[in-house]
Amino acid sequence: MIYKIILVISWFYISFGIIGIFRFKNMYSRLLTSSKIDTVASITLIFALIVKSGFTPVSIRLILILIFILITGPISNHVIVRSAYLNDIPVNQEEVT
Amino acid sequence: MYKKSWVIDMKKIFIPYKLFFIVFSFWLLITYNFSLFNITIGFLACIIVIFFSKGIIYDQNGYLFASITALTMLKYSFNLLLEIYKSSFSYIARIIKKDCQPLALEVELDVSDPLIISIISNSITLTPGTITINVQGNKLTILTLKDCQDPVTEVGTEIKEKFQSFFIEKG
Repeated sequence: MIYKIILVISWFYISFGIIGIFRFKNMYSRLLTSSKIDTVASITLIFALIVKSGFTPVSIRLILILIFILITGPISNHVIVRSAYLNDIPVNQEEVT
Repeated sequence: MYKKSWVIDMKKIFIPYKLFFIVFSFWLLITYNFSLFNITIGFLACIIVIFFSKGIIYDQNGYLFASITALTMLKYSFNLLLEIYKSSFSYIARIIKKDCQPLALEVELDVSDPLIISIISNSITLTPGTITINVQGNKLTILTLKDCQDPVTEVGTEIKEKFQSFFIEKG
């Protein structure tokens, strides 16, 4: 039952992330929103799976995957934002696509 | 003469046992297969990974960063998770209100250890609403969403308080 509630919370984060991506018109704002799905939603999703599996080898693996996500997850967003910033895309530019 | 120089060279070789132990235990726990074949493959893979991480994580004098205790990292991880969830709620409110603008600002940290700087910049990117764009020494360029009413200076000090103060207190 608890894992189902946590799963629903992760869907809540994912849906708000998608809404945010469509709601903001600026590229940087959209990237900030997509990074939210990457981190919060995935962490919550893995928490739900850990609660579901209980104290088993699977949960140990899930904790390791969580650590791996916490270390490597931000890199993709960082690389995209960095390349945009270094290519002189203005931060306050409104872009309608 | 030859023998003396060989002795000096031998002293300079640094074998990162700690790193090997961490990588190898990661392999064993992820695969969860304790057959001889899997252990051998993991052993060889770990040696290759450690060989190629020379100059990045360690050199002949030792590790390139000061070590952080496991307890500090555990406390920091809990603090980080708390910050992630706190920011996620405020970010959802921002998505609904849509009253914010992206802003790039520079924050100068007081720490100089590369490991702590990379942990802090990684944590900033993990926290919803902030991304580290660039790191030069201890100067971070951060992309954040600013409220139209909030002054700019508060954002930088808030970020510093959240992450850096933790490491300075714990040494």
